[in-house]
Amino acid sequence: MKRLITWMLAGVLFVTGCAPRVAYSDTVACSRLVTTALQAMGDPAEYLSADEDHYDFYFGGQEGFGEVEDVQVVFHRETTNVNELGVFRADDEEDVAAVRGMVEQYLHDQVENLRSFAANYSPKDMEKIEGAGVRVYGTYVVYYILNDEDAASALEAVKQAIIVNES
Amino acid sequence: MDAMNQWEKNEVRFFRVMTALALSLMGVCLVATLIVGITSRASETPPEPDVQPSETEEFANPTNGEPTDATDRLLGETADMGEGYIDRMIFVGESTTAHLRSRGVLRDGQATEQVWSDSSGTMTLDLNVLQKTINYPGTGRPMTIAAAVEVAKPQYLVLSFGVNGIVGFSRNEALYERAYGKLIDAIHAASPDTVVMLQTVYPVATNQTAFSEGATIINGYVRRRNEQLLDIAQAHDAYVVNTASVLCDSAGNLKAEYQTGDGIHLTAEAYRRILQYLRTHGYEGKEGDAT
Repeated sequence: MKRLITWMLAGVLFVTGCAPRVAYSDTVACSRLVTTALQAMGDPAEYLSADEDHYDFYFGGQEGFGEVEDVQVVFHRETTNVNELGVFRADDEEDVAAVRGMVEQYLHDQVENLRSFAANYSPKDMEKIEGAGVRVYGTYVVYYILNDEDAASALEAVKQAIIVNES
Repeated sequence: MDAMNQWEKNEVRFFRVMTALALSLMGVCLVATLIVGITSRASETPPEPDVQPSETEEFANPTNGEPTDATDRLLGETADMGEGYIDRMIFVGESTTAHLRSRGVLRDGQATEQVWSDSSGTMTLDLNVLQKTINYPGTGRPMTIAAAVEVAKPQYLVLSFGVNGIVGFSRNEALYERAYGKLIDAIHAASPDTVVMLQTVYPVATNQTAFSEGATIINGYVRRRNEQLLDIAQAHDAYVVNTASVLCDSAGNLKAEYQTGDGIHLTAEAYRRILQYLRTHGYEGKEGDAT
């Protein structure tokens, strides 16, 4: 009986011990990550980069923006395509939560803005809007408004571009 | 034998309990592992906007009858400027502008080169508007609006934005003014002599379903955008032409006979009324200007 319990506990520890431990770089430029992601999606020429006015208006003064070291946001050039991708790099790991909160709020507001537009002009984009999300990789906070396939490609490309080791 | 059977039963019971406990612990550990880097989704139900539609006398009067410093920016009634006046205009805006082409109401009908749009046939005003492109008539080459203005140097550029993104604008009024101002400034930089006219935002009809909010609420947002237009025009050297006024019923909704069935898009007759309004509320120039 004791041997059985011992083996069971060992099994539990083995499973938890096998959870991947990943380290990410914090020196890769956000613009490079976005380019990598767009290339993975297959149509980088169809995207435009947000300008300083965009960052200033939507994020300037927001809690968390002061902790952003680097940022790149792109959106599809056609109005009827709601595709959007943004990569933020926090100053350090302690600031990630604040940056993530800011990005989540922006995404929430953007999704609300896009819902009525998509319903009228681009119903096919509703899936993207409802599937919009945020991911964190080390000090990088990534948000996306993409279809599932593009999102998977983009996120994997970003992750692979900054992963240092995986054990 | 009985003692052995009882011991076996206890052992089985113990095994079942321990197995259930171990499986539960494994499940907890797996979930804990998956939580690292888990997606966060924006799924909160947005709060209902605090809407108080204006109770002004005339829906489509952007001044609401009250004098403002910007009223000289509102193009008043003039003699009919004629079809030649319309011929010197370029139109840029949302789908309700692009349909000037498809409805064939301009001089060259559906072959007109006076309507600038991209392949989607619509555009949304936002802070990245300067990077958005239209397909330049004749060549089909994608060009930013400013670049196209620099090439064409139109005498009049008629802009119409405000329905696309109207819910967002209602929550963030500064966005509408900042984005519109940005576009107008870029047009002036590209062609200082081009006169920029801002059409009042068209209302929606009661049968519209594009917006989850009803027509009354949306038209309240529209009214507020129209009030902003005068300030925008004043700040950025443009003029407001109240074309929306010919489309409204007594309640400030888009007249049923002017919409194509979705409560938003317009019939050819609606566009003829709009063009007639433009002719009879013309820009007569500043002192010393040639029109």
